[in-house]
Amino acid sequence: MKKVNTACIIDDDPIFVFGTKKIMEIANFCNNILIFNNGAEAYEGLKTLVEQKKELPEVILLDLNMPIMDGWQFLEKITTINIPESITIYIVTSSINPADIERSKKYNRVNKYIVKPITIDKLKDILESYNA
Amino acid sequence: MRHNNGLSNPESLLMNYLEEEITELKRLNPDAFKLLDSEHIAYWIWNIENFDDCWYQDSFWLSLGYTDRQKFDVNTFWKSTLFPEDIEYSFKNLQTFLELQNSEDDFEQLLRYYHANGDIQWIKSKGKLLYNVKGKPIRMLGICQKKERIQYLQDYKNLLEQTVSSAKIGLWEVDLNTQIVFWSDITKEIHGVSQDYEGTMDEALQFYEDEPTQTFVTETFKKAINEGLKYDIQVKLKPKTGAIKWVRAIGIPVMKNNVCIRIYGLIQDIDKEVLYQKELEHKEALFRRTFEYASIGMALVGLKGEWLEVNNSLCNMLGYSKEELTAITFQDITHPADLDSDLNLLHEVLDGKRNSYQLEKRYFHKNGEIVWALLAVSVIKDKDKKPMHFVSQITDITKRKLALQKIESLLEITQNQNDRLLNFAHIVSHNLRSHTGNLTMLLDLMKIEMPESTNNEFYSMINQAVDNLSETITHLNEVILVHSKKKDDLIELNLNDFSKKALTNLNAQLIEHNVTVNNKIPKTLTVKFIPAYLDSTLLNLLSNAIKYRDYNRPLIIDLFIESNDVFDILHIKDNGLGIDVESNKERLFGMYKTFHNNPEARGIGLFITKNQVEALNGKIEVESEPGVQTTFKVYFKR
Repeated sequence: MKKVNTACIIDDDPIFVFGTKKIMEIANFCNNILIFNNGAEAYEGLKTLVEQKKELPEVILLDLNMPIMDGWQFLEKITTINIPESITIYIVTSSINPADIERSKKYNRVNKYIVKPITIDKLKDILESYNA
Repeated sequence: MRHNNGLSNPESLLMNYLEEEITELKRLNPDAFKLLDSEHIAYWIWNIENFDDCWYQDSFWLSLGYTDRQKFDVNTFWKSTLFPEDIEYSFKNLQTFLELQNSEDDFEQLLRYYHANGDIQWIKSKGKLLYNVKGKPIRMLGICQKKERIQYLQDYKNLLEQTVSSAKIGLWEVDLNTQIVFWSDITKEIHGVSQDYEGTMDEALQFYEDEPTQTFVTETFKKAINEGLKYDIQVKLKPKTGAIKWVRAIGIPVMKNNVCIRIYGLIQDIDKEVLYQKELEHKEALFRRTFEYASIGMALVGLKGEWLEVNNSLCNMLGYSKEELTAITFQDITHPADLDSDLNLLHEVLDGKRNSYQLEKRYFHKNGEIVWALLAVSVIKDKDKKPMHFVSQITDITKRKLALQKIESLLEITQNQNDRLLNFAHIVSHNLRSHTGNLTMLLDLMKIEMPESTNNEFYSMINQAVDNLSETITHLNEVILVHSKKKDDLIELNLNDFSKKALTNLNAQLIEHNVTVNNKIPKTLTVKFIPAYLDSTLLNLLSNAIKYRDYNRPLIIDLFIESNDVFDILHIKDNGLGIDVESNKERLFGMYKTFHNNPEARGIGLFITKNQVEALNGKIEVESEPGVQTTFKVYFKR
């Protein structure tokens, strides 16, 4: 199965980030991992990559509940910059609030709503749909 | 043609032109006039070219008691002795007669003259026209008859009865000399006697037999006769046939030399009017009492909003005295925010669009405080359907209103608190989930990265603790989720089908424990519910029944329905261990409560089931006899 070249994690929780990185390694998920601590950082970082025409991540794991700019605000903002359609965004959150799940369906760019914790199996599912 | 005979000429006073003319006629036809010269007949001549001039034979004046007619103007004296109303009447009669020229009939009329003593005398006249050579009528020659009194009355009666019969007015007269009593037809009718009845004065008074009426009527009648006093009274009369009725009796005595010679008058049946009047008075009194002593405020309000009459309750309510209140309008003391809606409705009533209205409004008490009132207004119209005034009923609802406002504000507080609580639950569950998620993830990673570290008992205990924590949080989330479900997610579900599905899922256990299930749920019954909740509710209650069976006897589960107006009630009855419902009431459906030393019991199922059922406007109840049976009742809203 083909690996993801660059995966991006947008999450303010260092333990989650640490764990996810580890699981990605174990699951042989990707070559490179790009990490942003909140929506604002991610937006600025991705914008710079687009402007400098550098390589963009193919998969983004987006947390919802973050300081400065949360996941929803990021989703609003990201549509204003020209990022390729091929980038798939996964919401990865602890929230099982039905309102959040409903809201996520309004964003075309969101591929799936994944409830934490992230596991090897869940990463494998993502990889499968990436290869499909 | 008219000869003007001045008063200054004594000759012409004795002889006017009409007298001259008749003397001439008499000279020409002595035989014809001889016949007329009798005691009771006098003749007259009337100038029909000038109605004012008329001459009567001396015997006529003598019969009326005028002995020296020389004192009077011959031409116009006749008019001054006539009853004033009858002058016009006689002129009109003559005019009408002349307009019917070809009539061969005699001219006839009945007039009232004043006797020199003041009495009124009825005189009947008959006349014929005299023509000049050109064939034009210029004079009327006639005779008069002073008729017997009863005879006059007969004529009078005929005349009057036509005019008064519709008003049911009866005439009567008593000649005190002859003691003859005359009653008209209607008078007889009123007294309930036949038309040929003839009675005496004493008999007439017997119709008022009830005391004190009889005394009163007798006294009044005596007074009229003795003192010449007219009377007009309303009394109860007892007719010979028929029920006692109210009559109005008018008596007019005719006096001669201070002695009453006759008395006449009217009698009218006013029973209906009196009863109506009495009823009206009664109603009026009733209304007044109601008005005055009503516990609610009542007022008569004019078309411009002025208080016409106000009762005590209203005065107390608004803090004004009656005088103060009736000096202002309702507009003056109405809260400005409520004035327009009141006036709009008032105008709709004035425009005839409605007859009454009701609204809640605010008045200002004299002390400035707001008085909340329920106002009911209806309009009173006159017989032409024109509004006259309004009747307002005003109930003080200030206390009620304040209580309601308090309840509303409490409700708002509760709602806010509830929202905050739900919000709090979301946050807590979210944050707890983040941490347990991390813990689970770290433990998984540790197992992969450092397998050797998992061999000690601490790892497995930490793992167990994290699993339990995750489960608790999952349960908490389920409860939160139940209450965030929307009511419009409800769909009609076949209860029998769902029960069968739940039993199929439990089939292995049913067979293993030899359970008998009697499913009597009607095959067509549907309930409004969320499918997942119905699944979980049925599974929960049925597996509970199995879990808490009595090992000493085979388990029997009965499923059946009872319905009332509001609910379809599912009964799930088992013959298991039972629960002491009374002492466990509070805890039965609580979280993490168990009542049996059953290792499978975790005390979460009933808690979630109750929450699910209640979130969908249903309820759940339990009845049990320990050692005998347990029945869970699930109420599904119809």
